[in-house]
Order: sequence, then structure tokens, then C-alpha cells
Amino acid sequence: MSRILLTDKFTVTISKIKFGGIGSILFKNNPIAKTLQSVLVNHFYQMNAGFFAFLFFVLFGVVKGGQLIDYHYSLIIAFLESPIILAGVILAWLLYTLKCSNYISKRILEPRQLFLACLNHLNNKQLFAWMLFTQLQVFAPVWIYAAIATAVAIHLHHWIQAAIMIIANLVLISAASRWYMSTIRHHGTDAFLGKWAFFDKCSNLFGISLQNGFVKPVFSFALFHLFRARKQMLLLTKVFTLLFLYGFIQLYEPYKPDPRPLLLCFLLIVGSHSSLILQIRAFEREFLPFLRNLPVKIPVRFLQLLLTYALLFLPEFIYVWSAYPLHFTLLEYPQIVLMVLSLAAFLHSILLVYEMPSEDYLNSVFGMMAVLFFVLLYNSGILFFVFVLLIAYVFFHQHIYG
Amino acid sequence: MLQFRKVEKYYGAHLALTVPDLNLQKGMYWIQGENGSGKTTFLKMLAGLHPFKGDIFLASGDLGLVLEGGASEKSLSILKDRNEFLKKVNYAEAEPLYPPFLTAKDLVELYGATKKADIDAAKQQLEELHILDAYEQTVGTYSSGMVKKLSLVLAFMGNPDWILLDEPLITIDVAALELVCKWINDWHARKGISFLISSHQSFADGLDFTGKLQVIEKKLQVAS
Repeated sequence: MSRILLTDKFTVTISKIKFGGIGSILFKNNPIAKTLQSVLVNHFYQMNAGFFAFLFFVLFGVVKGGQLIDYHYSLIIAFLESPIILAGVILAWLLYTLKCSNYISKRILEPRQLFLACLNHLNNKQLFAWMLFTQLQVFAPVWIYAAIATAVAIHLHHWIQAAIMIIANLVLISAASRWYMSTIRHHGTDAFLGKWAFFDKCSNLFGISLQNGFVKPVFSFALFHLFRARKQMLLLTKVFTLLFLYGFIQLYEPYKPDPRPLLLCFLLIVGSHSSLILQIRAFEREFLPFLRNLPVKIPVRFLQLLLTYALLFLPEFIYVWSAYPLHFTLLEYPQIVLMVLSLAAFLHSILLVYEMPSEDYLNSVFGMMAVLFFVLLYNSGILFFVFVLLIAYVFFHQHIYG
Repeated sequence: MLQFRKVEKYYGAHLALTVPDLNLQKGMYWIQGENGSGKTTFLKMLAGLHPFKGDIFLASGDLGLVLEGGASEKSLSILKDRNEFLKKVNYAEAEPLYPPFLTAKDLVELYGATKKADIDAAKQQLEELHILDAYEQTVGTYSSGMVKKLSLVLAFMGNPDWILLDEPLITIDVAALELVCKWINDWHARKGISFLISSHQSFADGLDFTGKLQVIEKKLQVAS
């Protein structure tokens, strides 16, 4: 219970703190600071709040409050004393850097943010300083944790590890700042690191391979969008949720098959996908209004939505079979699938009802998760999720056309 | 015939457009009005893209026997018979926007399947507009003129009774403009398809309109 409340509280305050409140305090009346804060930093945290909430739960919600400091101290000691774990941690920081850099640079290139080109009147040092200001804020979860870890390393005389962490952070922060600077200067025509856009190349190859005679069905549109425009968010969400599922299956051994712990896991997995669901809805709103002119029945449209989410959660649906038969029985598998699909459809449908800002949406997500936590503890059975699916359908039916 | 009954469009509490009870006979109509007057809103309501208060009915052929104060006998309501209505009403946006990873082929096949349309006829039109070579390229690689041409071809797919064209002449080149005017005239004359066209540009002698509609002070009126 305390964990749920903690997570809920975090979501309520996340967009107020945004790890970057410092920036807005230091540069309170500076128009550049205010613009970068609202257009880039706040937007980044709002769009990724589901991811951060999930990360927060994994880092702070899995142990009791009294053991939190010991838990993190042990984690820090683990990567200070093992070069392999330290390499893994730095790799995670690199992935996070790619996530922020890709997001911020794409945001800069959006037609609506074209006005940011006015920053070009700044000289290189000034522009780099403002991009550093931006990156320090979006990178705050990493560098704050790294600063604490470095303090521990210095305290324990792990000088080399401390130096590695400091250098890694400096390199990652300055490279990302340089990337944003180049994006603003060249507006995407010759962006820094552009030639190393590994993910773009992958998705382009993916796109080309699917062009040969393959007609994309409507239910795949949202996934193509995620692969193309939100690939880092998709990749990190999948990496974290699959690692989470892997850790749970490896560490938890029930005496007899009981689907409830696994259902709770999947509840968190759906919660961590809430930002992706928000992205899918935003994509629909921007790019798919033309579909409304097509004569397609509402049940068919709803079925297309379910197929979209079935594909999105396919890796988890497949991977969970590694927990069979220890964690669930054959008859309980449909309940897992139905729970995930009904909750995803429900979250999608409430975004049709209320075009809510992401903060309100995420509050709704955590409200829903808090209620479902107790519902799942009492093992509500498959009928409950049939009911949730019906509610989602009713919302969808009433609001699909506005 | 199109019949409008107590149609009002609000954005929040703001009244954007009212359409008086109006019967629009088959024909070719030019919708005029200032920027922001509500022409696009009107077309989007009719195309099923925007929700609104009231109802719009479509009576095809000679079935449009008008009942007093209400809809025609055997007419289709956009609210109650949405799918049947949309099979008969096609729409091309002023500034079409498609997911950049889709190809013209994806879109033509999608419209073909849902509007029960002839794919080859659409490909023929794409060829006439000189964009068939890009049929399997993603829309993201298209110029704005090519996207506009594609959207016009999609609007001509199927068996519509009405085709709604929002600013069809913007962005496209002169040759395409003449071709589109020819299609409109031909389809109206040969197939009896009606058109509602909004445009700021003069069609000169390109199109022979049945009548004009104007949006004045948020109200759609038949121009005298």
C-alpha cells in the first residue's frame, strides 16, 4: 500500500519538480530559460512520466522505506566493485542519453518549434551554454544519482571508478548539448551525430523491407509510428519491462501457481506503457483524422485498436511463457492477455473522452493502478476484465467521432 | 440531395458555424467565405470528421421526397447511417496530412477496400497526375504538391454521390489544376456526381457551377 501511495505521490508532483525546477528558479525571468524549460524540458518529463514512474517504482518502491538507503548503498557498492556492472550502468546512462537526445532533437525539429531557430543569433558559447542548461535538466535523474555514487566512491577511495563516472557524465552531457546545438544551427540538415543515427538506419531498413508488396493494415499504423518516431521510448520501455519480468520470474518462486503476483507485474507493465499509449493517441489525433471519412464500423475500429495493443505487448505475452507452469496455469493465460488488452483499451478510450493534458492522464493511470492493485489481490477473475473491456468499448463507441 | 437540419458547430462554448434548414439539390457548388469563416469546418462536418449538433441527411437519386420539417423518405442520416452515408460522401482536405511512413499504395488499397473502389482507376488517375512512379514510395518523401494530388485521387475513389474538395487548387501545378477541373466537369456530367468546392481562387471558366454558398457571420447561406 505504502508503495502505491509513494508512486502516486510521485506522479502528482513529477511535473512540478521535473528535476529541473532548479533551472526555472535560477533563471526565473529569463525568456530563453522559460522557453527552453516549457518547450523542451517540461515536455520531455510530461511525455515520459510513465517511464519515470516505472523507474521510480523499480528503484524506490521495491524495498521498504527503512531499507531504502541500505539498498541503494549496496547497489552502488556493487557497481563500484565490479567493472562489468559499472560498464552496464554506464551503458544504461548512454541509453538514457540517447533517449533524451533523440527526443529533444526531434522536438526542436517539429514545425511548431521552428521559432527556436531564433536562438541562432546567439554565439556558439552562449548557445552551447543554453543547451547545457537543457541537458542538465533532462539528464538530472542520472547525474544526481551519479553524483551520489561518486561521493560514495571517493569516500571509499575508489578513485578510478569515481573518475570514470565523472568523465562519463561530462562526456554524455556535453555530447548531447552539442547535438542539440547542432540541430538548432543546421535544423536537421547536418545534425551532430546524424551519421551515427543507428536507430534511424535500422528503422529505415525495416521500412524498406516492408515496402515490397506489403500493404500496411490500419492496426499497424500506430506501431509503425512508434518504430519511426518514438523508437528510443519504445526500446527503453520494452527493455525495462522485459528485464522487470525476467527479474520477477527468476527471483520469485511460488509454492503453487498463483496468477496474482504475475497480474500485478503486468499491471505495472501496462502502467509503464502509459506514455506509449499517450503517444499513440497523439499520433491518431494528428495524422489519422482522414480515417473518419472511411465507412468502417465502430466494432471493427475497436478490434483494430485491440490488435494494435496485442502487437505492442506481444514480446511480454511471449516472454511470460517462460514462467509456465510455475506461475500460472494454461487456463489463466487468457486472463493475463485480457487484463493487458482491456486496460490498454481503457486508457486509450479515456483519452478519447477527455483530451487531457499528460499530467491529468498520468494521475488517472495511477489512480487506476491503485484501485486495480486491490482488485487483483482479491483475484477478481476473468469476468472483471471482460467488464473493463466493455467499459472501454462503451467509451470508444461514444467518443470515437468526437 | 443533401439536407441540413438544425446544424450547429461549437468549439467549446464558441459557436463556429450554423447551417439553416437547407436542402441542397444535386449540382456543383462553390463555397465562398473569408479565412476562418467556417468553410473547412462545414466540409469536415459533412465528411464525418467533426462532430456537430443537428443532423445531415443524404437522399440519393429520386428518393429525396422531402417530408415536412424533416428528412427525406429513405434518406441516410450521418448520425444513424454513418457508414452508408460515408460511402456516398468523399472528401479531400485543403492541407492533407498522412502518416509519413505510408505509401500511396497503402492509402489507395485502404480506400479501395473501405469505399469498394476500383484500384486500377485510381492508379490511372495517379498516372495522369504524373505521380504513379512514386506509388510505392512513402508519403514522407513526397512534396506537398504530390501529397495534394494523392489526396484528390483518393477523394475520387469509390461510388460517391458527393465529393467535397477543400481548396483543391492550392499547391498543385497548372497542368494538374486543369486536369482536376476536367475530372470535376466530366464526373459531374457523366456520372451525375455532385461537388462542394471551397476555394479562394477563381475558377475562371474552368468549372460550371450550379450555385454558390457563402459563410457570412458564421452562417452558411445560399448566395444570390
